Amino acid sequence: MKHARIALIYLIAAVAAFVCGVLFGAVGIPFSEFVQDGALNPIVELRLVRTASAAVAGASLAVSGLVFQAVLRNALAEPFLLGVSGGAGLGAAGAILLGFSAWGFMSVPLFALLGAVAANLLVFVSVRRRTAEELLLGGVMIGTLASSLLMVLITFSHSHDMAGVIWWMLGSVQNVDPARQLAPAAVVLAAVLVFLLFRAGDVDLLTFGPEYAWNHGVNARVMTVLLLALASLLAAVTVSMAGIIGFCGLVVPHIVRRLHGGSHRRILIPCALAGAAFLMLADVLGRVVSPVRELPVGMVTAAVGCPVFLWLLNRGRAGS
Amino acid sequence: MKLTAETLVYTHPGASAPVLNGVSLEIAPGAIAALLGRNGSGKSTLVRLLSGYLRPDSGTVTLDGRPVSEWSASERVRRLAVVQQHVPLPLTDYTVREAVAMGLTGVSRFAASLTPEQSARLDETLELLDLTPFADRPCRTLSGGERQRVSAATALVRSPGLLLLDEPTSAADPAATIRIMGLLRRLAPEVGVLIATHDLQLALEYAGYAMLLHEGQIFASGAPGDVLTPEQLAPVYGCTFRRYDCEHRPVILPE
Repeated sequence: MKHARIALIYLIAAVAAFVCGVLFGAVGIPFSEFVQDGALNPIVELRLVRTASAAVAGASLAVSGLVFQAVLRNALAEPFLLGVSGGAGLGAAGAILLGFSAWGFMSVPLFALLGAVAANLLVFVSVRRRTAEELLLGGVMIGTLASSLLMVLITFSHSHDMAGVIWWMLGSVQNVDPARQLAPAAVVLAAVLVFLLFRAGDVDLLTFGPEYAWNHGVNARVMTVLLLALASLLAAVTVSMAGIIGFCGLVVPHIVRRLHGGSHRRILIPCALAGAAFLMLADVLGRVVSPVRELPVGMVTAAVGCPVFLWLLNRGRAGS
Repeated sequence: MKLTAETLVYTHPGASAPVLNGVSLEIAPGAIAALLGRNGSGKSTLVRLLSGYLRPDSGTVTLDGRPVSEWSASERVRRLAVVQQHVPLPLTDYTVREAVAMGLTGVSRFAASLTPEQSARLDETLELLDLTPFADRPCRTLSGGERQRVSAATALVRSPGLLLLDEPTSAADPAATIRIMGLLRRLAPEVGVLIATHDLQLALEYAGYAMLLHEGQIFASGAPGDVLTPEQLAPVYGCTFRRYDCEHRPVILPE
């Protein structure tokens, strides 16, 4: 019952953040004007999509980070470790700078997804033993290579293209297509969550290391690769939808684990809900603080998350 | 229940020579079997091969006549439990009760909570290893010896037919050592127990069978009193030993 109560508190927080996301922005809309002439107010409709996108992106990044930190047994692990951000950035920048964005709205997200998946596959193919440590190092190398190639592309680009790339890299949930981006991302998130709920015991055991997990009935090598691939898929789908949003996948799982500890079966749903609430509120903040020219959500997550994280870190140490 | 290794050969990745070169042994209920040898002789590697975590270059490990790699993970861990020498600290603050419960939920991972029978078994195991006072403490706050007891409890909680323990008492105080070894001795008639240890006295006191690992092979094996002699130990450890009788119990010390 205690677990259910914790999850309920996070659910209430996420619902409250969703309501804030729909209510607040550059223009205030009273409840009475939500529906006009039998149709949903267009601004409310836009806010519903972007807030839902923030929820899915935040939950995906938080769950991805939770898995990375558990499997790699490293509190500094985050969703983009296996080259996802570098690959996605390269894919998106390639689409913008080489003129593929003229093919249509979906070309940039699609190229970003392809770049992320390609970088990820390259990591898994190029690392022979595929232990957590070697995958991590391989990911850092491939990510760095992709980032360097991205810099080369930017160096030879026009200034207006460069602005587009940089804006995309800062992360935003402003222009998400509900059918072609949000819905698939939500399906991937739901599928990964169901899988993780069933295999949370494996994740618990892997936090003690692969040999310990093996000795308790987990095929550690297979589960390590599978879990890291799923966590990277979550990150890749999110990055193709909303660009590179840092900090959420690093800070949220860390805070939830610090507050509630224990089994991943217990903290998985709270972590997803906390990630969703965090990114929805960060999006609202970006809209409210600077209504004319919105702050990119990735900047807000870093600005808010960093001091909160440091405060929690020091508070925990003082008490321990 | 029986665990059999036949002519195991294993070379560490990047090494030029095998660390184990033709090791054969059998673990079955009856008495505690002790595996001894100097640092780097391959004791921990042999335990990892027996558990199926490492695959040998050649040779076979069979559990009840079937290769250990062919058992499903859940069937394997119901029969065979392993206590590692060093268990890394987890990132998450699991309590002792949660960590020991993983010995049960590792077998049936889909169950969100323990059955009443499993809970009773968990409490009994915590009591057996004197862990009840620590049950709700985070594992990270425990000493090395206490963590070893948690590790042993996690293996024992599912009542395995075979137990492999790598240095199970290396960080334990004398009282905890007596408790753990006494428990293993009580289990040994029905559970096959292998302990890899550096402690010659522990082997003399508790084991019914001893094996000396040297230069990749079983150098000597048999009753501990016959194997752990100054003559056999000298070439293995590279120093001389003297055996004493203390109140009719053998004591062997390096000189």
